[in-house]
Amino acid sequence: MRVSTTLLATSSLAAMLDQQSKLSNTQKQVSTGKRLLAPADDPYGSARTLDLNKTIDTNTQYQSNAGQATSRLSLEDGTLDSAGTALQRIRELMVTANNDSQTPESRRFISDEAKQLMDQLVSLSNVRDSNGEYLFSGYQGKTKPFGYDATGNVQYYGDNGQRFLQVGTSSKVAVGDSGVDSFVAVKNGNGDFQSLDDANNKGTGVIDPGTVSGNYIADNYTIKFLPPSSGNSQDPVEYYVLDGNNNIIVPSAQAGSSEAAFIAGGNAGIPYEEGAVIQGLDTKGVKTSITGSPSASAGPPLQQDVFHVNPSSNESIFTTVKNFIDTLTGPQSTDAERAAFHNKMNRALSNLDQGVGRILDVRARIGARLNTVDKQNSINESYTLQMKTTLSGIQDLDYASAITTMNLQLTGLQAAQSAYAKIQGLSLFKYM
Amino acid sequence: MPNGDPLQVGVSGLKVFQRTLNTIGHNISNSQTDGYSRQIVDLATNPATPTGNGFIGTGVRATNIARMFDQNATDQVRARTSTNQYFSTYYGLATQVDNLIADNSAGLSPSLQSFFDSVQKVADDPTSTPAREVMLTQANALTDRFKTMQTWFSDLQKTVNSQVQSKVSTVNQTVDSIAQINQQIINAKSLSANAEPNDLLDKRDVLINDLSKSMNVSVLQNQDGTVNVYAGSGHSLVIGTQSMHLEAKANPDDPFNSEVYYVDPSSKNLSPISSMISGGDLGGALKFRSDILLPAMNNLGRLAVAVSDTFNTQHQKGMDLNNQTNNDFFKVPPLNAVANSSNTGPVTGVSIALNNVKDLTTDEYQLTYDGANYVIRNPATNETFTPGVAVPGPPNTTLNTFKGMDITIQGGTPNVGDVFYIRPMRDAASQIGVAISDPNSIAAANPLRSEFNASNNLGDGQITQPTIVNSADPNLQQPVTITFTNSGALASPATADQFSVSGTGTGNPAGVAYVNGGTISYNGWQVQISGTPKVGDTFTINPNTGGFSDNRNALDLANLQVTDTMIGGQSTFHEAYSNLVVDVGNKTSQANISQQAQSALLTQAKDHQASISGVNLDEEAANLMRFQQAYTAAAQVITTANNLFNTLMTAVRG
Repeated sequence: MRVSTTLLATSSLAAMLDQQSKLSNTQKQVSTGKRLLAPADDPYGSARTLDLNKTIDTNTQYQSNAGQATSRLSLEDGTLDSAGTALQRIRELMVTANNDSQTPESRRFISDEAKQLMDQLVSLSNVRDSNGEYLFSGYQGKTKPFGYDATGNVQYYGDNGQRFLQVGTSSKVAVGDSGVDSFVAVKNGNGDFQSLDDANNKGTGVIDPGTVSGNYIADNYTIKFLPPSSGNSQDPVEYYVLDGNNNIIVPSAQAGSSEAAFIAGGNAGIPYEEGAVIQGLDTKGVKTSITGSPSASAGPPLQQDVFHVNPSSNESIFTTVKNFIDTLTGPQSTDAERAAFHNKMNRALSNLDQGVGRILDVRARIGARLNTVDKQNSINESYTLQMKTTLSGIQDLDYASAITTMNLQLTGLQAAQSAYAKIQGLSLFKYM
Repeated sequence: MPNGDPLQVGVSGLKVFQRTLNTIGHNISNSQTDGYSRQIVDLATNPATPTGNGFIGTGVRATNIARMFDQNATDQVRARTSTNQYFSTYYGLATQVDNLIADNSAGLSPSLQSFFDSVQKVADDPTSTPAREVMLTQANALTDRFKTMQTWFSDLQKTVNSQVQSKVSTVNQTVDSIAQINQQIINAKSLSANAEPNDLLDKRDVLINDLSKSMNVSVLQNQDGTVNVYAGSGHSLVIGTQSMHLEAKANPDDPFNSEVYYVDPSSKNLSPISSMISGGDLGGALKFRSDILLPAMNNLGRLAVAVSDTFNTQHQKGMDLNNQTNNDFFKVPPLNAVANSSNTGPVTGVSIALNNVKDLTTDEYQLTYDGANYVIRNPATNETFTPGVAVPGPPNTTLNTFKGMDITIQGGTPNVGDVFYIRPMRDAASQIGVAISDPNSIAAANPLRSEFNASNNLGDGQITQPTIVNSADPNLQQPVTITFTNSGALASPATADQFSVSGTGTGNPAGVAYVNGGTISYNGWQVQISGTPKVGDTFTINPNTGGFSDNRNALDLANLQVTDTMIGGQSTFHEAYSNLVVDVGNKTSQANISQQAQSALLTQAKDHQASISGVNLDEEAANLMRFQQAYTAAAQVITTANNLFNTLMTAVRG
């Protein structure tokens, strides 16, 4: 084929320019370290790069959220740990105080220490995080959650909101517990029911806090004492048990009849036996007993010692401690007063145990959450690493091959240049 | 002339070789001239003189100066030039979009990510003013990025417009020149009927080739040596010595886009031919606009609408630090329709309300009225839709929701033939903004909180925190109390199986059956209560006054980043944007491949053409030597003839 001189020059020039453009592209790749310089280089890869970068960024954000979660949860855990220690000390004081050998003076020492511990508890429950937000006030982080009212009771001013943080794509973790959950809504008694003495009792009967046996049926049960039906005061007093509608449960012969009918019929109750399981209640899942000597006299007027077994209701830990302090300063001159004191102390002890249990429950939940955060963290970390590896595979340059390519292109360019120069030198005119 | 005169024979050679050397010189001089076809002198013997002994030769003559030329090769170069120019313009423009959209600093993706990161920071720490300030800053950065990209796209739109403008004027100049050369060729031919005006022909081929750089053309040879040139659409640009013009003008129905019009030479009427131009710079620029630029603008606009509207919907459900609810965070771009300038009906305007984000498309539509129904057509695919009327007019007619939009025709019924252009996404990205400037106005909290009565409740009933269903409910923040009661049907009298509700807006129902874990919904919120509530247990839903540490709504806002809200509920914001990146990337990459292929084909065609028409200097040098020798030899013939004559004279003189 004929070749035109211009074509010869332009085509070898074009070859040179082409080599230069390739070289420049490779050089850009080498200097940025990126294989993909624009989406057109690899449209799918570029979209993946965007996606992966987004995922990595989001994960990094989750990691930072997890850090935040860990610090908040650790603060809460530490606070509750101190609160638990304070409550343990209060429990020891309760056990010490619930002893007839205590003098009014020693009880005052106990009460002083208990008050201090109570203040400490209140200040612990008002703890703030590094941003100055109250930890236990629910959503109202700027509201001080706990404070004494005019009567010396501790009130809760927060709500039961709980904050969550996103620590993984589908993993949210609670980073706190409201004051209600941690300190206020604690079931009293044994968690199912609470045994109480009646304030007007004359005898020295002390009711056991009791345990649930079988299937507990919630109702307000009442145990009432009657003088011995034999009329012989040497015989033990007798009792009957009423349900929430004031109908007889035991004696079973009269089960279902009203209390008025039972009394009017002059029926005999069940003979009281100290420390024995109260009959009738066991069929409702309540196992309790009474010790001491409940009193009852035919009168008139009819005098009856009364005990209640009510479903547990919520009592704040602060109320429990406040009640304990109030009980300590109450009168203890008569046997009946001492019996009332022991009944109250028993209640306080079981209520406090519930409170201690609650703190432990909350701490267990915190532990579980911290664990979740840790696990999620390591999942996020390995996920991020994977994503980064994939990303690097897509967008990063393989330097070895890029440099090799560049060297080849350099050689190519040099060859093209020297070919150009040589061809330009070729002309028949030189020989004329 | 005397028969067999060696002097004359020699002179004929001298004259012819001189002419040949002259042509060689012309070739050498024009070896660098664009479009030059090398010329050669055709030689032939002079008619011989017959004698008794035979025919005696009388020397040489030049019959013609021919242009080394192949029509096919020239046609091929022209066609490939047009295609190559088309792809290189298309590719050049596409690269600009391509480089922008996925760029780490200029693309949208990083701004979107930073914004949602800042939302997470607010969720981490809802009371922190710095975190809220950062979120506002990032929101502004995001809307700025939308606007910047939109401005950038508009600039490209203007670039296309000015390219159309300048290429059309180039075309007009070129066709004028072609017509002039046609005239010159007619003139030249009249001087010498059989000879070709080689240089004029070359010049015309160059001009036609230039024309094909702007658009694809076809060429028809006429008997008189002139050519007719037609645009790809079949419209004639040059007929003999007449030239016709094109005009670039803003589209009256789409004023931001210039289109190419053909000016009818007699009536001067304009007819649009943009869609028929398929090659050259013009074709490439127009195709880039319809293929990449406008879809990219629509895509970006849709994302702006989706992000702002989706975010607002959730933001309205939240409560800010001033206890305000139902506030917007972003300014959602308004959606507009444009009436055709030649509409005759009474319609005063067409408004578009956003119904849902997930059905929004990136397509543009035309709304017409056929006398009975409103018909919406997608001009790109020619699909038609008749959505039907939801609220009949006149004066205002609202159509059933169409692709996520509620379209209202205001002021009357259009006439048949009236057209309204629905392209609300194209400019949307420039309209997005941030609606709030006070960091306290970020609604990180939920406006309600549910509580159980800690001191009275005996059961283990649990209430979830309220979810906002309708943030516009007037009674949303009214306190509501749910009190559990017993219908008497249960064995354990203290256990509740129903509840009553009290609070403004609830209608205070009593005896509502309790379902464990069932949804209870009033006043635009809903909660679930589970467990075993006891008689007398109460639960309250209260305004979340002072709930500064609440981050529930911020979490929901942050979660929008990973929620499939777009494209039929299948894609997140990022994925929708990735679609754009892939789409543009693919088209650019294809254009690049096509451009390289076309460039190679063009080179081949040019090689082929050059192998026929190009000047090879070595060849010319060889010819130069050859004809120089021949010239010398011819001169020697004359010398010899002279010597012969002298010899004869000497002999005669004796």
